[in-house]
Amino acid sequence: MVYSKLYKQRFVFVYTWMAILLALFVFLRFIPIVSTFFLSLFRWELIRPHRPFIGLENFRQLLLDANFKEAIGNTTLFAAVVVVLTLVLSLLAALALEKKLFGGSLFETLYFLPFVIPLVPISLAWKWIYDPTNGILNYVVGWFGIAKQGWLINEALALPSIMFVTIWHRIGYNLIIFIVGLRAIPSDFLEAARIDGAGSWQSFWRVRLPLLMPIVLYLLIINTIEAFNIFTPVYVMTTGAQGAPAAWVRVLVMDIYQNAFRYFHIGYASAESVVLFLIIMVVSLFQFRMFRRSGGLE
Amino acid sequence: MKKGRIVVLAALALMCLGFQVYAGGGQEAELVKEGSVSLWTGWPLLSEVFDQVKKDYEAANPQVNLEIAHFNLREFEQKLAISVPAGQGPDIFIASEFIMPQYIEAGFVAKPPQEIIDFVEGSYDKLVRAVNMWTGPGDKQAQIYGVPHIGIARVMYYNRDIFRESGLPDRSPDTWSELFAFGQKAARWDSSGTLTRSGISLRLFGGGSGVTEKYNIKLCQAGGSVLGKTADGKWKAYYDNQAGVDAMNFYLDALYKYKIESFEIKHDAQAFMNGQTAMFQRELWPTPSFKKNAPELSFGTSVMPAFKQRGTVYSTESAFVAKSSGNQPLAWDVIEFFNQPVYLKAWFKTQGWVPPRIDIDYSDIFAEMPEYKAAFDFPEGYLLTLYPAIPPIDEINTKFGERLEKAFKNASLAGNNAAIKRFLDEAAAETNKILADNGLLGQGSVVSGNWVEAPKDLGYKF
Repeated sequence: MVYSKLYKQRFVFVYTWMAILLALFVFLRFIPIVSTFFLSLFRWELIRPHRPFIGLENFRQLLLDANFKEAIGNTTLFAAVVVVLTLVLSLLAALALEKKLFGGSLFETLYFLPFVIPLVPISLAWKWIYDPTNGILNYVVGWFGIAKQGWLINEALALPSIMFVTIWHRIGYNLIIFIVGLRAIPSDFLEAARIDGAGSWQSFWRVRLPLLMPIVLYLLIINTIEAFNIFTPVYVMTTGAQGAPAAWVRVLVMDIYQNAFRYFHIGYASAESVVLFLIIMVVSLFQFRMFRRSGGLE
Repeated sequence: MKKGRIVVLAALALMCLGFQVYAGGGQEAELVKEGSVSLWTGWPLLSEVFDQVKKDYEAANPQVNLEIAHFNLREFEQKLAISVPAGQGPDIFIASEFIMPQYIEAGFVAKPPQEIIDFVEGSYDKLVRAVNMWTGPGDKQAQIYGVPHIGIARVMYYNRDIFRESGLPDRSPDTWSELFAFGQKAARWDSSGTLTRSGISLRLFGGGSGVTEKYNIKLCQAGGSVLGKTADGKWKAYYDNQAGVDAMNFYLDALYKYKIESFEIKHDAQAFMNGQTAMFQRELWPTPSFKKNAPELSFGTSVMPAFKQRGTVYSTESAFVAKSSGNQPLAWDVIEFFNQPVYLKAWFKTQGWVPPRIDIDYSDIFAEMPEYKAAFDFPEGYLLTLYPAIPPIDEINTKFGERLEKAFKNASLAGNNAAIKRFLDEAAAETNKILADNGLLGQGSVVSGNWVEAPKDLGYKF
């Protein structure tokens, strides 16, 4: 077979750039992930030279670790609430904004703005908003006769307070994706449904939502991964002499960070990371299967 | 044959020379004042004086580039942990005695030359010298590894204006009972019963070992310590006892019985500076900070109040040289340079950073900052509880601190000694497990708490 010069040039171009990207992926992702699996089998202490192979002992210790169990519980609860509320609220907002009405772009921008601001300054700002003594939130709730609350201090309020910030931060991104998805649905389907006598709810439930399923699945998986990896708002908002007791919002990545970079138990933290990886993998596969069974991806 | 023998002998000689250079790490090398020296600290408050140190040292030694970096304490400890074992750390670092054992035991810290050891033995107070002794690879006994940079006891602060306004005497409380009595008079609540000014600000949270440190002060006063020594020279939790219960009751009484402290109000030095608390416990660094940022604040300091005994926490920071340093003699020279009285007095006066030198006359500083004396002028029988020089101490303190944070929030523990004991037993089990994992758990009962009686005379000139 004779290949044209142009074909060969394109071949070289494509595979050269793919090779570069693949090399970056291997160096920045694959090797660290494999290294983490490897380290989890050792009693690897950052400062000590002796690092014996201990097999699955780190994982056995995790099963007995109350902090780890608390972290899993908090993280799972956090992920469940944040993912569901983020998707539902952003879908509702998208349905309201999908029609190109006057001022719609402004609302889209306002919703998206929190997403483009890095999480650290956002967390710092919300830490001040939540401040029990000088925070504006307590000032506002005071108008309604509600006593000052320790939003980040009270056990019952600390995790929900961080959930709220996370949902507020992520709604914009999900909203934009949903709007794009809704606007991409061919109007013929909706017209046909209308002709068949479908009301707006039936039109949404029977026509638009099934057609949105690939986007819903994408957002579900992305949000689930993000939620299980929550760290920045917890770290920024709950540490410090004026902050919240971090124990109330112990999440998995925070526990991994503490074990790795506070106590220098690299092997143990790696075992935790492997567990987190497996949890996210299982949840994502479950979501894929669930959507496949419901016909959402067909 | 003869040629072959010469080649072999030459090769052996080269190997010996190379081994000596490698093993000595430059320790026996001559001081050559050229090149770069890096210095890290976990205390940004040191930067102003260190900027002057850099300027002066480089002016005196134009061939030397002194790179000084300050980080927040936790980030500093992390950077150290990642870089030093990899041989990529700084030449000099100033660190606490409780993080150093693991580095020294692993052989990452250079032994000082004899002149430095002689200098430390002759110029520093006996307490800081006793605390700064470690056993590294090949050491038959503990020895000096670093040059002490700070030795500090925690003191009690009280707001003179609030005390006067509340009809209290112009002195810090002498006992726990007096502290609660003073606290009740000094605290203020609004019409809804919310605390607006605490009687005493306690460390109730913080996500680190600071919670345990402040609890340890009360523990010492109650007759305990986080770790106690066993007969075999190892360690065991020493707070799952009456002392631990008493120390917990101190916090719970302040929060739930007398209600002179609360979670929602501001805490620590910030609250004291803003007049939101009448008393708190800390090192000396807030003193110059208050004088600079709140000159109208009228405050005093004193030693801690007594319960069953009187005492406080004592800790140190020292300057160490990394074994991986490419120019150890130059690094030690830099350390000697910034230990000159002019810089130490500047740190002492402007930052409350207490250089434990007994051969320097600090009387002018004490005259200007009489609040400093509380950290030196100890009464008879005053105890100083120390950080055990063992690798897992930070983990023990941090994990115990997290448990304490939760316990302080549990109002049902107030007045319930049985429940408090159960909590302490659980926490002690975790502490002892960490010790066991590190081969440090002692057998049998604790024979003594981890404290020393404060020397009657540390040697300072007031």
